[in-house]
Amino acid sequence: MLVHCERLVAGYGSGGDILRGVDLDVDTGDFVCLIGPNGAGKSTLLRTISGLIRPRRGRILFRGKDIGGRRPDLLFRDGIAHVPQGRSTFPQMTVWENVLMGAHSLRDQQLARRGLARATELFPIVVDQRNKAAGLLSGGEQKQVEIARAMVTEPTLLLLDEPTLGLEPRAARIVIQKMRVLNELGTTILLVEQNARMGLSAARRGCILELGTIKLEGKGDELLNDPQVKQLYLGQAAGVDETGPNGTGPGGGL
Amino acid sequence: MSAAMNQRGGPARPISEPDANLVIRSVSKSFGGITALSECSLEVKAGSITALIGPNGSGKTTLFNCVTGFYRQEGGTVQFGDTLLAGLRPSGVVHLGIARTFQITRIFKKMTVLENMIVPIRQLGLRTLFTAGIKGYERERAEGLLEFFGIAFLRNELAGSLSFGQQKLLELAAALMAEPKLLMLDEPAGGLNPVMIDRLGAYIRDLNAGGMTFLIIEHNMGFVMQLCEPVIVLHRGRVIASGTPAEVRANPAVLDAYLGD
Repeated sequence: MLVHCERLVAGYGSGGDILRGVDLDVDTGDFVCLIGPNGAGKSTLLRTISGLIRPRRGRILFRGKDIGGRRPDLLFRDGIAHVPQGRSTFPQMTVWENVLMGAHSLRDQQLARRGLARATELFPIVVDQRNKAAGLLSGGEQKQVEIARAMVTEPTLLLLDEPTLGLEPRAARIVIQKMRVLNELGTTILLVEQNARMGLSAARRGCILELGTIKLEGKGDELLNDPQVKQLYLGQAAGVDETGPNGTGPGGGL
Repeated sequence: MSAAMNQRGGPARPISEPDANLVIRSVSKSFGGITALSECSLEVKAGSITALIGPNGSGKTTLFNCVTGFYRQEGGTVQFGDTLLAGLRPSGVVHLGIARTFQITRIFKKMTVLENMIVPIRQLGLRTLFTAGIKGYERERAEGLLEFFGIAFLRNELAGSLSFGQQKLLELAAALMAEPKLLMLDEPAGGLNPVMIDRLGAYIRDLNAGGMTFLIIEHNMGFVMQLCEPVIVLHRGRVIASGTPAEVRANPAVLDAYLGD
């Protein structure tokens, strides 16, 4: 088991609990998509795993070690990379400088070179556009730069928070395809995605988080075809979201 | 105003009959040598739910910013009804009955959810900022909207403590407090869960039946194609197509620039 969350409780400042006893296991090599209503605690769960928030109660084990309360920079070195919601490139810096920032924590030059080579192989855009200011790239291109930057350290676990948010359909499909490739190459992925159909189609497993606890989990396609899940979480309009004109996208038919 | 709308959004004042078209003629805007809008012309008919779609960077949000007084356009005209909008500040545009939301929400994070709901009506000068609290009709309407969007239980929380999706819902609810004639929504479905997207679509239809005009930027094609007509497609700062959802979906230029693989 790569990640094991046990009765995990977390929240912000003096506010109430957002996570109210999350039990979640993620195996090495898994690709898990977290879905659920707005405010359910999906982003909070990612932040707690990556160390941005300290758990109030419960445990998080990463490779069997309790990491609750460990600093995010140390967790990053341990192999947990977190690509947050929204845009997190340094807009004034060039694309290549942004990617180099990912290597900042690597002291071993050889590891850094290998990581950079791997990131450029997976995301050729960081070479094609290397001298351009990152802020001038489109949303989809910036998201690829962010994921490439996270991949430089060759993380074991990649946490992705709504990577397709605000992206045009074509760019969203590219980002999702890249995630599949990363997973096939061995990176374990925990993805938060509001575009539930697209996320569940890409992932191996899905988990539904509601009111701070895991309500349901199962294989991605099982959840997609579950009538109750459809009614409560998948909606109508999103069923044709992000697909190509002939319904060839990962979200299903148009 | 339909009964359904009252039930969903709380009691609403009757909205005046739709009368004002938004007419944009040859508007240009560039940023340091990068052209965002290039003699862009389009019309939003009063009473329509018009979609504005196109690739990232095609100029959609820039167009919103030119219309609502956040940017000054470099050429052309923007007219709402009989009024030319050139030179108006954002607050002046709101006074004319145009409200908007933002792609990245712009709420007041240090104010409570309920206080955020008061801001649009205070800006309209219906009450001064010194009037304490929110009462009567306004309170009912604010509560109704918060209830509809599922965030009423957060009314006394600081807006900054809400999740991204909840902040988007709050911004939308606050924009509706102003009871605009034209509501411009920048990616309203982005970051919302699928069930809420359906509810939002139904709500927009109800408000539209009551006379509100919509101009909606959105990448969620399911949402756009089910809700909007006409659909206008922007590419490299110009309109490359407009028409019914079916027409736009079959347009080779649109497939090439945006919808195709």
